[in-house]
Amino acid sequence: MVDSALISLLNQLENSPEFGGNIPYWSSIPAREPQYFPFPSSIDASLVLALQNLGIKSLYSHQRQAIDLISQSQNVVISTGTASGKSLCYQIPILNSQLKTGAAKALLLFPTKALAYDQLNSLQEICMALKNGSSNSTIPIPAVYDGDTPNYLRSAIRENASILLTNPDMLHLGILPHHTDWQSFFSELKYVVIDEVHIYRGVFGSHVANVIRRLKRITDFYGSTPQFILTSATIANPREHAGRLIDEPVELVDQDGSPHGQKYFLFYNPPIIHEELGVRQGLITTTIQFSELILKLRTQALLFSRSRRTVELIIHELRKLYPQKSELIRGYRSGYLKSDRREIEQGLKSGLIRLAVATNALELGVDIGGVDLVIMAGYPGTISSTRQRAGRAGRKNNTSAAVLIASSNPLDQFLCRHPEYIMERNPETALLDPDNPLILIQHLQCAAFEISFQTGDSFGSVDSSTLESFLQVLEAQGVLINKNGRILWLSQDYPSANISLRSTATRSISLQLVTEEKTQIIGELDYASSLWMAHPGAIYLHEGDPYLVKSLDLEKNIAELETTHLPYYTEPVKSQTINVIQDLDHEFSQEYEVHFSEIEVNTQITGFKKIDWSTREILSLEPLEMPVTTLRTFGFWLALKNEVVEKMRQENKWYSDPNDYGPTWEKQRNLARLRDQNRCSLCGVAEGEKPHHVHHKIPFRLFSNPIIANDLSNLVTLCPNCHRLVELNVKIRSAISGLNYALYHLSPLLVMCDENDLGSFADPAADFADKKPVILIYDAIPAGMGLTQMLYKQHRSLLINAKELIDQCECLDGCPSCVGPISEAGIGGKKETAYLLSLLLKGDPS
Amino acid sequence: MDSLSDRLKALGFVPASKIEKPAAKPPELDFASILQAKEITNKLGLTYLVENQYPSDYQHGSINFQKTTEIGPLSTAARVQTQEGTDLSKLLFLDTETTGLSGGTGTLAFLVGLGYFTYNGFLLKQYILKDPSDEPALLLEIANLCEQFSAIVTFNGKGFDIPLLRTRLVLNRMENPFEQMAHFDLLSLSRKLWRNRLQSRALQDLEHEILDIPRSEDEVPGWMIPQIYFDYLRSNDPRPLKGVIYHNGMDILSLAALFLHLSTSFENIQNADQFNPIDYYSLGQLYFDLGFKELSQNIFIECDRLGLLPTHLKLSLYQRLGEIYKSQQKYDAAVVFWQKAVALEDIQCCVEIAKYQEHSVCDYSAALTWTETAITFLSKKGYHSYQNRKLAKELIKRKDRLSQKIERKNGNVPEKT
Repeated sequence: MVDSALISLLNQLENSPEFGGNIPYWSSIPAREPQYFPFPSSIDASLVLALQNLGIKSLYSHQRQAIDLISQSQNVVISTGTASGKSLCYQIPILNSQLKTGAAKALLLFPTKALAYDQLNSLQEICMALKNGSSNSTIPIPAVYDGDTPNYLRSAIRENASILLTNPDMLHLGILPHHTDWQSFFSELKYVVIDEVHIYRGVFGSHVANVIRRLKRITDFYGSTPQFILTSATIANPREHAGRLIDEPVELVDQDGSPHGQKYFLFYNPPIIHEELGVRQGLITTTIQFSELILKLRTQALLFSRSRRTVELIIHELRKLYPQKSELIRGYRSGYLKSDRREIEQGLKSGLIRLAVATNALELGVDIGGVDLVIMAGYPGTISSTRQRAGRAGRKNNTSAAVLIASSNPLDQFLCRHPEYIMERNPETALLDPDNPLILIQHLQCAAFEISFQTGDSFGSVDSSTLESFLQVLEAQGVLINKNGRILWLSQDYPSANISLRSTATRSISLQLVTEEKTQIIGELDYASSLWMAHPGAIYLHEGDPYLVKSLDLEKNIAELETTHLPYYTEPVKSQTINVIQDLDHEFSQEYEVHFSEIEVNTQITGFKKIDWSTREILSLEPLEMPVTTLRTFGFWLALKNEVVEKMRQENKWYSDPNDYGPTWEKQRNLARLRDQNRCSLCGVAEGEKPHHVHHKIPFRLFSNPIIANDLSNLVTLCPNCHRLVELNVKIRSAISGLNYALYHLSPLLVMCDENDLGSFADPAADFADKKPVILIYDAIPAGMGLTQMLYKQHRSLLINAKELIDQCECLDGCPSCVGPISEAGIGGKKETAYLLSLLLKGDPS
Repeated sequence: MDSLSDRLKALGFVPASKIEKPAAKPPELDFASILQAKEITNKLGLTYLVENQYPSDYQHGSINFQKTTEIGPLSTAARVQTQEGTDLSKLLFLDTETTGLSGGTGTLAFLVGLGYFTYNGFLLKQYILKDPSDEPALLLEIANLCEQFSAIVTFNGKGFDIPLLRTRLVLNRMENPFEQMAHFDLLSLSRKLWRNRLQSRALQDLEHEILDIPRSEDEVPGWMIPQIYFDYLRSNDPRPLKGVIYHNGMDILSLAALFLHLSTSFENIQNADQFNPIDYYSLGQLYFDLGFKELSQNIFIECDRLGLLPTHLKLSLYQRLGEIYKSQQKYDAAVVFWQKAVALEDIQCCVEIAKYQEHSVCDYSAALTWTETAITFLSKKGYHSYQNRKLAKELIKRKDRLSQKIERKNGNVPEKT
């Protein structure tokens, strides 16, 4: 019995001295009975018969609800669990309508090619059953049309397909700009399905929303008004998000009527192995321990790892440990051959494969049946993907379990103590901003190329006067011309070819992997990111694999990479200045003021650190000179009131004041320079017109007596350049930098984004805030995505989460899981940050 | 608050394409009089027409427009089905000038040139957009004109002009008149006919190489044409468009001349001496591919008889004739041509003779000698390419097998059990 094997595994986990103590949370979700409903009478009998022949005898409640709403011509978003049968919600209305009318074309958009092919199989299965069961001559014709579709098939698909499966990029690049070739398809277009809409957030979502606006302009031209059917993983705002994506009101279906067996959800927090540094046992070691347990018992498990590299690492280790079982263990990630992937999917379905180690490639849609146990090595980054991955466990009504192994990231640790975020309500709000001016103006070019604008036109929810001002900019640039109120594309370019749906950048750097045999482009970075991610000497991670950047040519827009096995990774050292352009909103409390502003972030990369992969030790600091970049965006910032700073000072918890180096300083300083022969002790350069700096080896602030701090043995002469680098190394953790660290890392929990979508900045005396201490978090793309506007509104929750995280952290004085890793000077800043938070949240009931 | 344009600049906006601003506005210039165009009004608006009549004995390069021709043979060679009774007077010659080559819905045909033979010569009609909003009227004129004709003649019209015009018609919600018409696209025919002789088969190169037509200093190069029209729209100075009209007019005239040249060529395929020997060989290839085996065989035999081909084509000719005779099982004739090819050190034909000797004549020693000859030829060429290495393996296998057969025949080696 599969169930019993899983249960005995769970028992072993709970009772073993090795694992038992590390499980902070263990929940059991009782089995759920299905809520069945009959097919509506409006469904064509041949379709009902075909579905019954495929084993679908009736509908779940949410499927019936969705089908009913769709038949009332409503736009619908279906947000139910993994494997709850969301596809049927749109398959049935589309097929039914095509069978009954012989027309009613459908456009299905999937975020990946693999999902489109998976769905094609499913539709073909139903169409086959239809063909076998009826004499109806108008059997719907599904077809995939994407970049892989061979040329000789394209015109036949354009003319004959009734259900077209594609992706937003292909729609943007290959279909809309050639819409006249699709005249009959667009004229009869009745349904547009957008699958997995939670993926369309941030920059990608904002682009896709504009592609939908363009699509609607075109269907409008051909006189059709398609209805939208969307599916989503569970997020906080599926209805609002779907509505924003298509610029129309949408009905929500979220009462899941599908059954499942009993489910267990466990958090596993690896034990701390270095108390002082707060270092926990690594993810890979822990994962391998778990895998050993799985392989001993007759269970089938799916293990999600964060990168392609770790997938291979884990497989390699396990096969070494269990050579006789290596057949049972397989990897699954992008980069594998299609045929291998199909084989693994089959192996999972049939049970031949017992342990599959996968990246997120297996998270979305692809049909693998369902496994007994899902293990996630590290928090996947969003709650909805955690739930989707966990949803892979559970076959029919069998018992299943999901385990989340926490990493030392603050979010992982926070969630270990707050499992309710994953188990109960999802606080993640998917955000997008179709009106981001940089994104909008790109799609206006494509739209003008597709159908010329007329004076007075609007574009989706962009009103005519806003549209006019954008079109005027493009006219001034020379790509449009206004002739008698008709605004035409006036360029030899094909605009969508220059616009990627995955970025806002109009300038990109191509990443070239140079090997002895060939040079191959492995990816692209926008200009600003290239400066800190692909500077010369950087270790660039691409799909989890490390590459060494040999050179970055900003004139040719090329970064040259080579594969590497160096034992370190790199971290850029930035110097940043912030200008507030205009304050848009603010709120004052007794303790702090919080603002939402349009800002300008000037960033320069001045060097980079080489950090040991395994020990996280900083191996060296290398200076760099890169151009300054300016990011115009939005941010929210928190300025501390003087009263708070005063209190911190009184408690001796404020390290951010300029130092008063005491009466002996001048003398000692000169003595140190004399001793070091007026040369930099690091690089040896001699003094010029200005004297070199003299540096305290142990930070001055850590001494109560300045005379002892200024002892010659604690002083060393450094040139300004080396001094800056050394200072960065030993910077003491202050309360504001600790708070900055915690807030930045916890933010993605509220706004559903990658850490890279946000930036942060801390300044003990910010010019834009009358020299008050400031913590600022900003949207990391030009003109923003609304992330920090949302954070601004929720700043109180963010502060409360940060306080809980820090208060409950088991480390002594700071660790990577709360206020950041302890600095080399031995000061963590945990107590100081916690105290600051208690002051800021004074008067808060929680 | 700064302007949208400043704001976009601050955000880092770089437009997809950049243009140079035209010079300051010239004085009011009258479009119609400068281009010698007349205004045409129809129910969809107005458009401009430049019309030129060429006399019936007009001489365009080496071609005289008085030439009459029966278009049947050309239709066969181009695989175009025409309506019954289609003659020269039912053909509409067409070429467009556009705002780009990228295709898609954003490219405009701002000049459509049409030409046709009338009882008193050749009439050239060029419709041009003074303003892009005049497009419906222009398209309507063309659609109406099409009604009198049963076929269109273009150069690369299948790949470019017609799909583009179709897109424009759809965008203006108009019926597509070309759907009903036969279409001679002379590009593919020219490619086939001149593939062995000319480096480029672009219309202007054919003009130069085949039709002997010079262009005057009014000519503008094709790649400049979109920009000339963009500049005109911004500046309202129509003068540079004169060059575009000249360019398009020449294209239409050359298209008609090329048609006459091709059509008379196909009418006279029996007369080898009217053709360049290389073209005549290409003609044989063309008919061979179309499935006219006897016709192509006759052409190839004639090519061999005349013996005027350069060596590399001679070799292909021998291979083809060998192949044809082999397929007719006329081995004696085939061997004659294979041997001619072997004289040019052709490996493949050595192998053919070896196969013939081995399987039909059963002379293993002769087959072995031919195989060895092939190996010698190959060793001269070297083994750098994959194909040659693969071929070498095959030859050695063949040689070994033949040696074994000879040994067995001589009774030296027992049969394998």
